[in-house]
Amino acid sequence: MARIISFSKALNEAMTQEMERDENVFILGEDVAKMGGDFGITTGIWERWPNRAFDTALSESAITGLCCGASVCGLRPVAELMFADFITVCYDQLVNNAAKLNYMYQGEASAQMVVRAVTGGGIRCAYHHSQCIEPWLMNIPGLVIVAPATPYEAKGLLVASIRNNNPVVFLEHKHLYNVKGEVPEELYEIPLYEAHVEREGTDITIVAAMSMLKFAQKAADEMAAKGISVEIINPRTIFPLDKETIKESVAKTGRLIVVQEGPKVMGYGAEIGAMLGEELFEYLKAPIKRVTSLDTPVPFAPGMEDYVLPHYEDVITACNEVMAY
Amino acid sequence: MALSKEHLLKVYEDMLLIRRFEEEVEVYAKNGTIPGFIHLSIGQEAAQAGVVDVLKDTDYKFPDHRGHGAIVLSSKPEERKRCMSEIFAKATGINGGRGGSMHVHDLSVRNMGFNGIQGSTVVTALGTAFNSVYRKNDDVTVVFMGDGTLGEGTCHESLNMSATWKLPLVYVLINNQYAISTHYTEAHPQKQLSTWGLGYEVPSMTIDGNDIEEVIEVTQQAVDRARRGEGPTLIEMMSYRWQGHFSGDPAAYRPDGELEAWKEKDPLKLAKEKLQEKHGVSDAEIQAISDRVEVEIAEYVKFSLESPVPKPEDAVKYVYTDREVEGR
Amino acid sequence: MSTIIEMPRYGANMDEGTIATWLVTEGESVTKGQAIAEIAIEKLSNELLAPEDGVILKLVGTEGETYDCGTTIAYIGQAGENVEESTSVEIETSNAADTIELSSDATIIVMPRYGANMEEGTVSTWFFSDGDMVEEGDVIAEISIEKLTNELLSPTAGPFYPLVDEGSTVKCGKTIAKIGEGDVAEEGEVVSKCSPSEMDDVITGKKETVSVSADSVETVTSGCSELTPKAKKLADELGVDATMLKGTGYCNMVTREDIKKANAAGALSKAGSTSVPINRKMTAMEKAIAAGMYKSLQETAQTTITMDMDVDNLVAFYKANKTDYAAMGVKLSYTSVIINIVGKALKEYPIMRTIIDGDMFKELTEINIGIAVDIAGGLVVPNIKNADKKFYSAVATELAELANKAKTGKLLENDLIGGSFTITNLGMFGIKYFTPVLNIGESAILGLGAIRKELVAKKGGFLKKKYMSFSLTHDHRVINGAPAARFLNRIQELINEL
Repeated sequence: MARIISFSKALNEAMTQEMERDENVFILGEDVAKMGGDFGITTGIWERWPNRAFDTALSESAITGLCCGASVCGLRPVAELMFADFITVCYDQLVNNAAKLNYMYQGEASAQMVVRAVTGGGIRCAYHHSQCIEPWLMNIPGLVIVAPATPYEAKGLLVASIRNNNPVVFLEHKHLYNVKGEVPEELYEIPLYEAHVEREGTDITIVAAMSMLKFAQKAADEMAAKGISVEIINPRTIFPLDKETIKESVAKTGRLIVVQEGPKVMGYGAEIGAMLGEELFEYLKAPIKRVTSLDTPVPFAPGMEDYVLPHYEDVITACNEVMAY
Repeated sequence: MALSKEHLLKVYEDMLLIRRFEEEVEVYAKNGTIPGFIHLSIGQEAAQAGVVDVLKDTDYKFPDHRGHGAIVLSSKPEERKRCMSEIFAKATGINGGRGGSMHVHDLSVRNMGFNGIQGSTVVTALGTAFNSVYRKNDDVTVVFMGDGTLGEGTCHESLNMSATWKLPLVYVLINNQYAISTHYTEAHPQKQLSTWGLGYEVPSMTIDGNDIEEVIEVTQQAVDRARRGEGPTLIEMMSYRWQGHFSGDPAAYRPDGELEAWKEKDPLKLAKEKLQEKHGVSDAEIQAISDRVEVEIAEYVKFSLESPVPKPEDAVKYVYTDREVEGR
Repeated sequence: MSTIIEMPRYGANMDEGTIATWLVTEGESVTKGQAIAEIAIEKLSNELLAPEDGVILKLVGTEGETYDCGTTIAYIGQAGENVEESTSVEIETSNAADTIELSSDATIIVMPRYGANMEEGTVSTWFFSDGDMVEEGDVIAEISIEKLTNELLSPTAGPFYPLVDEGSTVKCGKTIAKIGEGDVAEEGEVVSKCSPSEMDDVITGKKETVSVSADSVETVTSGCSELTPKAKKLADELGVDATMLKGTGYCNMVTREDIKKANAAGALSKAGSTSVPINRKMTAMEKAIAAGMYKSLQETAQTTITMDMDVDNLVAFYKANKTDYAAMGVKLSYTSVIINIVGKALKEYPIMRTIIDGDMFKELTEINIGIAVDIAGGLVVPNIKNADKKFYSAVATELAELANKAKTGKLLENDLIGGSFTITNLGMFGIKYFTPVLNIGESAILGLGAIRKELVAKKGGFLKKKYMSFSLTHDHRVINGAPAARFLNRIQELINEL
């Protein structure tokens, strides 16, 4: 039975139910055990399994390194990075180790681990606690970057990530934690590497992940009132991208707008744009547009941060531009 | 601790095998048969052979990037030639040619492979040690590191976590004096690098890394302690690499006479003297060991030279466990 | 023995013809070479000649009806002879099952083809089982094609025998059942099968089930166009019609590669020369357009005057401003600017928007400028309300929206009524002058031609200038030549003032 719960609760349920199912699953990270996580996502797990939930020192390299080693032994670690920005201090373990283990071991063992990373801006915490880090990991073959946008996806994608044998960086957008939605009680998986067509349309394709999905949905409503039909693609897995679903959609509409929260340079928008330019040029009716943050660090002052982050109006402008081209 | 004659003969042969392995690798690296660059460990055989001698197959070993010797000795005898053919970039190599000199592994003997990033395996090793605690078994993890590795922040994270959680981990710090060209005294304030472990309340000691008997004795104590669940130990093993940082490095940064002085402390020479003087081993017996090793090494080389190169298109395999990557 | 007279094929492109008139009656004697019927093909008509001397035994075809070439339309023979009703092959265009009569006692039913893209279909349900008696027109099966399902009707009456299992996917044209007791020569080649429970998923599960009749299958599309934009451009450049090609691109779209291959193979016809003669029922819209055009020319005194407008200033204005407008999300166009100008001129010239209502002149006070939009099904004229009161950006935006709504069939009634003047543009086709037909209920329509460059003699030298020809049709009952000419001159002044 599905009931309405929050994104946070859906994540908690995914971990709890996977730990019930598989004793190789354990959690570790800074304050994830007794406190239940800085954002409360792991609440209640340590109480149930004191020997499967571990508070660590502030040592992101040690946490992710431990995950690599333990996963080669058959365990399934789920680590929390309190802020995705901290990925810089364990980058080596993710990039040089986790992403390469299956390659090195030729399929005999792999980094079957999940690093949950709390991502995104808008909480007035400045540039060390607000960044969108997916571009930093997007050209590391071997890694998987998963980005849920709804409570339903939060649970289904986290379950799939825990069960997946590749190293998964699981992005949790702070703004989504309190979003509520229908989530089945039973265990279920949403397959990785598959984008989801949130809404079908014929004139414009908007690709938007995580918190940007709501921009896309609102824009689609607004454009529909003007007779413009928008198709929305939620990638769900940001890397490796489900190119086919995006291509099928853009082949139909001939117009693409990518909405991404991070800076414009080298985000998933850049990759999708380049991919379509290369593989779908023939079908395009208008230039590809990206709606993104400015290419700056995320500033602290609310007015400044709002100025830098993507604006909803920019999505509408982009829609008008691609239709008028 | 004095080893029995048989034990000493065995580890002498081990050391000779890896010495000869490295010498042959150097020949083929210099003549261009082996691509890329090679880090040799000639002169450090006692530390590698001694530590591996103490370990069980089920113990986890993380050799460092100057660790061909530890890899070869950890491997099953019939797999050793595949360690060499991996370095030769051949399809028969233990990694199918994907890894080369810096990434040779064999999971069947829990040789976890090493890594081109200094300090990286120091934290990865936490995971295998953690696994022993989580699963309540007595497998020990040994991670090899060098004097240069200690400059990496991960060493601190690792020692701190393993000490706090009492993980069954042994840090084998082979101090071969130089991180490429920089002498350890120029990069670290401690006279003895092992004292660094004391800050984490980890039992730490510095020993003669060229004395195979001392290496085995101290390593055995550390491994036993780890198996008892008493936590990690840090052993600094003083040694010296005879070659430059990589095969072909003239090592002009070393003072005159330093190499010659260390060659007097050659671990093979020391072991041979003990065998002959204490145990009355004859020249003929030593020669017989040498002959066996030569036959063995010749087979590795022949196998490596004759093995086919990997199919280039196999490069796209094993990037992910569950999906294909596009080829050309 | 009687001889069959078939609907003739007068050319390779002819697929069917209409019997315009029978020139003979049943029982009449004819000589070889005598005209016996007039056959109409589109705008042509041709005489059908008797193939031999003899008596017209029977006229099977009916006057005014259309028959596929090769269909029997009459029998000729000797006096008193009986017609041998032959085993003709009937091809039906309804959604009754395609049949091939193999023998007199069994009718074969094949997998039908509901559209050009359909290659195979799945028998999702049989509604009758072995030996059940069926009547002509009974629904005998449900055929599914991807997301669609279709009912298959029985072509005849008799005992029914399915020859493939439910869930079987069969190529179009292959046998799937028979009606009658006779043997059948050919069994359906089953492409794939799935269990009944899997079928449930396909038919009633996650995928949407749409029930449509055969002739509307093709109109249910996924929103994809037939050609990719670049393929369309290439087809235009080559001047070929690529719409008949089977596309290999996404959504079965025709790609550049498809066109290049087909063109290299000489498989493409020149654009505009459709291989099938048009011979079909007019749509409601087409009927309305035809009636309206006729009425317009019947009920008014239309005359057209033309003027070459100097549009240097218009071009300069457009080029200077389009980028700024684009930044606002507005796509300025020559047409949109001209609408603004015409709006102004119309305000000053109420005569141009005055109509005859009974015995009254009546001024249309709102300046609502209609724009003729060429759409797939014909022509529509939505109008921009109060164009005289709007800024360039508003007119440009509204113009784009109306055109888009027209092309996607989303125009509302309000968009189409209340017009007081119309503008129609054929400039994009290189047309210079034309005689537009008045939109009913209006007294003037302005036709825009192509912008062209000309060298003009000036003070002993030459000057390069840009011209655009305006063709103004006006109802001479209301507007005389001079006021119409003054109106055009005023437009020129307004262009110069831009």
